[in-house]
Amino acid sequence: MDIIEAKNLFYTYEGEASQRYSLEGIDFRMKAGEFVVLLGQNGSGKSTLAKHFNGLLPLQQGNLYIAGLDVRDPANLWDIRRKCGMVFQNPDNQFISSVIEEDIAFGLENYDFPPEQIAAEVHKALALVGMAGFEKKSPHMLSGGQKQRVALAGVLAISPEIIIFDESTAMLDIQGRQEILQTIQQLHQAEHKSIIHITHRMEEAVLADRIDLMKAGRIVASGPPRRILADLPLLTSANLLPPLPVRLYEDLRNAGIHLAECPLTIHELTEQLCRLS
Amino acid sequence: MMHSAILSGHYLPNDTPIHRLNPRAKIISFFTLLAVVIITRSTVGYTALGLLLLSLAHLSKTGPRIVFSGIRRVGLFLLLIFLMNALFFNGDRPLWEYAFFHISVGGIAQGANVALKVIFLMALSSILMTTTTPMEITDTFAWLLSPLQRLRIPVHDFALMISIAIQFIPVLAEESETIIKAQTARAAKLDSPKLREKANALLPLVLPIFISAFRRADELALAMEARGFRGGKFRTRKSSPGFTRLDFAALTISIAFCAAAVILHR
Amino acid sequence: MSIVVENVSYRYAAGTPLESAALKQISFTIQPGEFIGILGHTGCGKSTLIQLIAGVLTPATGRILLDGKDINQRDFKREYLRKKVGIVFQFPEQQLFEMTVERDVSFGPRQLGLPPSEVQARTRQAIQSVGLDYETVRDLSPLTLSGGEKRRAAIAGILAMEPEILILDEPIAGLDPVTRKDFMAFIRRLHQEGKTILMVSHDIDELSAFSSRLLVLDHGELILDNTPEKIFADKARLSELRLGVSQPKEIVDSLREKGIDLPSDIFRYEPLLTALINRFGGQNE
Repeated sequence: MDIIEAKNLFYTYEGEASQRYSLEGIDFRMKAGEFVVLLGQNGSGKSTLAKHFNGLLPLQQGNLYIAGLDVRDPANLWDIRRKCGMVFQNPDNQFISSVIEEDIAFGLENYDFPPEQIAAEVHKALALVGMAGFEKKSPHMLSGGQKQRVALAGVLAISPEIIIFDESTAMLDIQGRQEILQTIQQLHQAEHKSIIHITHRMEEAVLADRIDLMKAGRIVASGPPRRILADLPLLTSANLLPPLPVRLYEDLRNAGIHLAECPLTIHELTEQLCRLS
Repeated sequence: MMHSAILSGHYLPNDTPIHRLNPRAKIISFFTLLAVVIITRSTVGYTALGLLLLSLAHLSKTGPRIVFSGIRRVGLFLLLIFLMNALFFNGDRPLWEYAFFHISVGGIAQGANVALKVIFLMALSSILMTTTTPMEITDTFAWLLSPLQRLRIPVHDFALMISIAIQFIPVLAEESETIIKAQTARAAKLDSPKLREKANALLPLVLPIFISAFRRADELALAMEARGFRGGKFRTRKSSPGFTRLDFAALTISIAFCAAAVILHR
Repeated sequence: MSIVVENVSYRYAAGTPLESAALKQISFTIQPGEFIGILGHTGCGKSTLIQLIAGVLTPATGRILLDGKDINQRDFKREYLRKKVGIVFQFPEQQLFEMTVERDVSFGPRQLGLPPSEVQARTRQAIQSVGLDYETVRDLSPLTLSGGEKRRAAIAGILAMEPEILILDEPIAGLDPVTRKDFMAFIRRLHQEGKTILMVSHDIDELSAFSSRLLVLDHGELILDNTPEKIFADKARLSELRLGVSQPKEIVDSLREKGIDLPSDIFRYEPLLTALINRFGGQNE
């Protein structure tokens, strides 16, 4: 059984004059432990889709099962949110307390964890994101990357199986972005969490097991990074730009220089170029 | 980031007797002492209260710097209160009079009285805020207001809402500052002498700040829901531990002060 | 129009226990027509520095001279400064507030007291120059625009004041790739049309693509001030500052280490492509 099974999802935001579909016939499946990047330009429907997976947006049309639970049944809502956590874009808008341990305890209290276990769970969640020892600190005093890691700890505390990063790296500087990406990879590899990462940065998409490319409410392509990111016409049609090594590969090819394989990283690129000489 | 620390009398983690107090005992003592500050009028009363506050600041390791930094921010306001009273209050033992100015010993005493009350109130609050976490305060307020629950007032949600709103003040203050700078750079005239222009000049500041506050509120609401928040439900909190000897001591001292103040200033 | 920054220091939270130095003794000169990139980690003081230059903050010590006159002197006309120096803050779309795009963009010119015909002409021109269609957007509420369009409208509001020096704080943060690329092309065009550009970013690729000069700030100090070639030549210094080089430069360095001879001063994409074609072209035939 797949951990997420979506069939033929349609969604339109209320009051939108044009009544344009934000999701238009989405089929999406994900295996437990997979790391999927949803790639697409702003407004392509990535966030709208992801907000269906934890019931933040109601199901209008289609079928959706999260870990076997039918999203259409309101009785499942709290269980689904427990299985599927979400880290948002703006790190400042996610904290409910100015003391980190209290903020992380918020989810645990919502799910009626026994009070005597809470401190230990909070500590465990902070340790997972490399922020142990910050229990009593204020999130407002941290860097962007640290804030997002604390927000992630707040989600991890209730042990979700799926974690969605809804453009969680978009507002961070390079250092903060690296911190979050490292944490994502560690959660994926060591904790076997299922990850959905929403981004429009190619260098982040390279890390995924699978990329689903979205355009105007549809998934237009789905496959391993090597296939999606090397497909220049596909990326162009979705209004995206290829990673720099892919661009260089194409430009060299147009100049009559053929590398054996399309490189995705700078390391692969230089290896290929060395083989030429 | 810098401002948030200064703006809020921010919680400072520490292990002191004041931190260890049961939040309920602490907040009841806080209100009792608040009453003392309001009742007190005499030199003896202020001296005793001053000494108590100093020892609390010392005990809680809040330190005079933090207590003082809060008072400094309202320094101008304090001076104004003092001068208003000292200059205009028609008290006993007049020293000098001209038109509607009356300087008198009584007026100066009155000015000092009001200014001292404000200083003591601020000191007391900053000791509470630096030693008690936002959630402890939230839960205690919800507990104090819990009789209202019978009237179907969602007391806990209300307390949580207020607490979160207070915590967003530093974020919004920082953002307001940026918007003020951005509009100043667009030649917005914020210091126009004409009242009409002044009102118009506020629009470019107030509207973006409101829009942003609503956007933030929206995102926060989503984030809370995603973490399993359900309104109208009492969440499990670390059950409040029973009162210890320390809590009884704190309550006894503050009630004793209150009784003494009532008797002294009857 | 030159700007001289002379021994400028600034302190955060002056007068409180949390007072700390944000900028220490910064000095440099901006010549007309330059494209300067300011680089550094979050909290290094780069935003503070540009706000001082735009005159929305006042330095603790030191002077900022616009054509030889201290902008913080009492007799310096603030409106003159607003006309000459425009600043685009990070996420500038947050400052939009009027009911229509036209009203919002014309806010600055109206505040400057320009005649209505001039205000209208400038507004139209500014809206078109950022790539929005004047007739389509003029009566729309700014809030109905898309993210990228909102940012364009906000920048039009600054351009309508026709500043000679344009300061940009992370202008493309949060935009999607194609919009980012269009935006950088647009900023480059403004530079080619004669504007002096001062751009802050933590992304070295974006900055080095167009800047003729880079300033590197660290902990409130101006550490490096040189051409990108010279700055990238000292990799050890850069890694000390926890900064990298641009991707093309990284590729060149990595290839040179592997014994492939390429000019070491390449740091932009097009020269890299040319050099690779020169080096490898003809081999496959």
